[in-house]
Amino acid sequence: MKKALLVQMAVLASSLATPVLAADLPMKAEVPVAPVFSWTGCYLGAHAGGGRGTKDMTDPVLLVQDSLIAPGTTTGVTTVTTTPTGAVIGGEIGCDYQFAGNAVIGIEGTASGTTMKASSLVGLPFTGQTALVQANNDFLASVTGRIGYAFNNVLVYARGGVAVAGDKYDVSGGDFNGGGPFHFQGADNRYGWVAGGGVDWAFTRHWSMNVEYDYYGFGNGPILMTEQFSSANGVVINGVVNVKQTVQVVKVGFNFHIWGSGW
Amino acid sequence: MLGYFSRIVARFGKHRGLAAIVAGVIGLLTIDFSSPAQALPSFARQTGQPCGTCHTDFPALTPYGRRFKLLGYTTGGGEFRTNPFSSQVARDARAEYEKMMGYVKALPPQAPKKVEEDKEWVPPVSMMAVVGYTHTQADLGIVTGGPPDPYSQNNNVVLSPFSGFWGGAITDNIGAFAQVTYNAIGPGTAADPFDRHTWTWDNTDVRYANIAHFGPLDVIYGITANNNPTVQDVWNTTPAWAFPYAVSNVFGPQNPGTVIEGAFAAHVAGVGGYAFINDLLYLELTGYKTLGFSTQNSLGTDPFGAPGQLGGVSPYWRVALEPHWGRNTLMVGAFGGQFNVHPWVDTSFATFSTAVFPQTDRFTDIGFDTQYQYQGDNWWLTLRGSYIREFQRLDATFTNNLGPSGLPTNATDQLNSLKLQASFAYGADNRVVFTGQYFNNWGTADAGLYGLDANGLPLTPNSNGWMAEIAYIPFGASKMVGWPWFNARIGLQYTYYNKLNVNFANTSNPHDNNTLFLHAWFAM
Repeated sequence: MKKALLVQMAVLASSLATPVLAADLPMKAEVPVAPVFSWTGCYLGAHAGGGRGTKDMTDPVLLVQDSLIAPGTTTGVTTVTTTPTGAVIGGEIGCDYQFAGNAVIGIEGTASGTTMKASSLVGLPFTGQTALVQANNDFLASVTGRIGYAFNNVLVYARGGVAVAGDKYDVSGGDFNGGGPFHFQGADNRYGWVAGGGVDWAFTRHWSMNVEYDYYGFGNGPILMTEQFSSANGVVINGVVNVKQTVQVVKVGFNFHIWGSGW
Repeated sequence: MLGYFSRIVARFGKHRGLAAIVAGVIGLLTIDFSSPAQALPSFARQTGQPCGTCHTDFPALTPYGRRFKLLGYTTGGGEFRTNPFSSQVARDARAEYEKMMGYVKALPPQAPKKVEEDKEWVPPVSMMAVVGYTHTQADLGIVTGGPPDPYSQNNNVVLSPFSGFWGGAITDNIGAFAQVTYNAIGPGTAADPFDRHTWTWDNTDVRYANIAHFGPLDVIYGITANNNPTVQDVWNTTPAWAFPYAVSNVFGPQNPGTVIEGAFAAHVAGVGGYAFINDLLYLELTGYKTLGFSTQNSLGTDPFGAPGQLGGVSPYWRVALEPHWGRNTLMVGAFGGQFNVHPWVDTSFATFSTAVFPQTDRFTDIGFDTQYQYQGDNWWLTLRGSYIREFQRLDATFTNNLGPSGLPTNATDQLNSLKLQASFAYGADNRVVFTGQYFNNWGTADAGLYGLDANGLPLTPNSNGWMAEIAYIPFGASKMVGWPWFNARIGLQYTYYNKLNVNFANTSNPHDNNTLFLHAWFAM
C-alpha cells in the first residue's frame, strides 16, 4: 500500500515538474473553471414534512339535533374549528428549463399522504350532551408551475397551481335523546389552489435538496354527512355541514435530476 | 419435449389424468402463449425478434417492447413485409430512430435483410388459447348452491379465453393490437339477458405514431384509439396489463375494485394523444365516451356489466419518467381519471328499460406507480408497485338507494388499491419466471355497498392476500423451431386470501377461496 502510494506521488511529482523553457513568459496560471450547474431537465423525488390545517365546520350542532329530532330544533349557528396537524410524506415529478439569464420555469406534480387529524367537542344544547367533531386530511396533491432564479446550483423559486385534498369528517356521540349513539360520516375531495416557495440546492450533478413552504386554499363547501347506525337499519338520515379549510405545509425534499436524453 | 411433459404428468399425482390432457394438448400444438394480450407471434414475424426481446414474460414488457408499442406496433425488421404499403425508405427511417435510442444494440446479430419491397406480406393475425385447471380450497360450487353444467363443484378444467388478434402494422405509422375473445360462461344464473355473451371484442388499441425533433427534444408522439383506460399503457403497473396475466374465471371472490381497474373495459371508446420525450418523459391525455347500449351488445359486451353509462367525456391522464442507466430501468409515474357515471335504472332488464338515472356517481381515481427492471446476462429482475386512490361521490346511488345490499349507502366513499410485486425471469429459452405479489384493497365502511357484519355494523371492502406464480416459457430468446409462428407459457398460480368481505367471498372463511390455477397458454 505504502509502495503504491509512493509510486503515485512520484508520478504526480513528475507531471508537475514540467521543464521551464527559456522562451516561456511568466503567465498567470490557468484557473480551472467549475462547470455551471444547469437546472434544465426533469427530476423525481420524495419529500417529508409537517402540515397544519384549519377546518371551520358549520353547523355540526344543527346537523345532529335537526337530523335526529326535527328540523328547526336548533337555534343560532355554531362553527367548530379544528386544526389537524400531522406528517406529510410523498413524492414529486417535475421538469424545468433554465434560460440563458438564469431564470428557470418548470412544471411539477406532487402527491402526499398525510396523517393530519384533529378533534373538538361541541355542546348539544337541546340535550346538554356533547358531540365529537373529528376532521382529518389524508391526501394532498397538486400540479403547479414554478418559476425561479438560479444562482448556479442554488435555485430560489416560487410555485403555484391547482390542488386537491382528501378529507374525512365524523360527528359522533353517545346515546342521544334516548335514540342510541349517533355517528355522522362524510368525505370530500376538495379542489383548490396552492402557492408556495422554497430553495433548491443541487449538491451533486444529479441530486438536490429543497426546503419548501406551501399554502393551500380550499375554500368553503358543503359536505353531506350520513348517519351510519340508521343506514345499517335501512333508514336514511343525513344532513349537510359546510367546511372552510386551509392547509399549510413545510417540507424537505430530495430530488434526482435526469438530464434530458441519457445521463 | 415429450420427456418434459412426462415429468410434469408424473408430478401431479391424483391429478395425473388432467395433467396428461394438458400436456397432450401442449404437445400437439407445440406452442406459444400470451396473456389476454401481447407477445403475439405476429409481432415476432413483423420485427424478426424472438419474444424475449419485447417481453420478460409476456405480456410484461422490456424497455424495447415498450418502445415497440409507443411506435404504434409498426417496427419492422423481420423476414416478412411490415405492411402492404411499406417501403424501404420508411423502414430505414424507423430503424435509424431505434438505433438512436440505443435499444437495438442488445439484439442478437441478424442475417442480412431483404429490402422491404422484396418481402412477402403476411397479415399480422394471431390466436391464443388458455386452458386452465382450477382448484379452490373449499368446494365453492357447493357453498354457492352448485354451479350449472358443465362445471363441477371443484377441480374444473376450462378452455377460456380463446382469442383472435390483429397484432401489427397497418401502415408505416399506424398499427393495432385488436383482440376478439371467446369466454366460457360463468357459473350461476345470468344476471341479465345480455350476460351470456361468449364472444366479445376485447382489449383494443389502434394507434398512429411518428417521431419528431424540436431543438433538443426527440419526441415519439402518437394518437391512440382504444376501448379500456390503461390498455394503451406500456408499463405493467397499470390495471389493464398488470399481474396476474391469466386468472381462473370459474370461481373466486368478486371484490370491489376501483373504476379504473377495468369497470369500463370494452364498454367505452376513447381517443387520446401521447408523447414520449427524450426517451424519458411520457405524457398522455385521453377522453372516453360510453358506447351505446345496442353497440355494446353488438360487440358482445353486456352493457349492464358496467356500473352505468358515462356522462360526457371522461378524461384519463398519464405522466411517467423512465430514466435508464446501464442495465437498469426505473419508472416513476402517476395516472388517473374522472368518471361521471349514470347508473342503470333496471340492471335486470325486467322492465325492458335501458334508461339511466339523471344523477351521476363521480369516481375520481388517482394512481401512482413505479417499476424497476434490471437486465442480467440471462435473466430479468422486475419490481413493481402501484397504488390507486378512488374518491366516490355517490349522488345517484345515494339518492336512489341503489346499494346492492338494499340498505342506504354513504354519500361519499373512498376505495384504495395497492399492489406490490417482484418478478424474476431466469433463462433465455426454457425460461422460468417466479412472480410474487401482495394485494390490498381497503376503503370506507358502507352498509349499502358492502352489507352488514354479524353485529349489524357496516362492512368495508377490505381484502388482502398474496399471489405466487411459477411459469415456464419454452421459447424466450432464441428462434426455436416454429418461430415466428408459435409460442407458449405454462403457469402454476396460487392465490392466498388473508381477508375478504364476506358478501363477496362466497363463504365466511376467506381461506376457502384460496385458489390453485394451473394453466397453459398457447399462441400462434
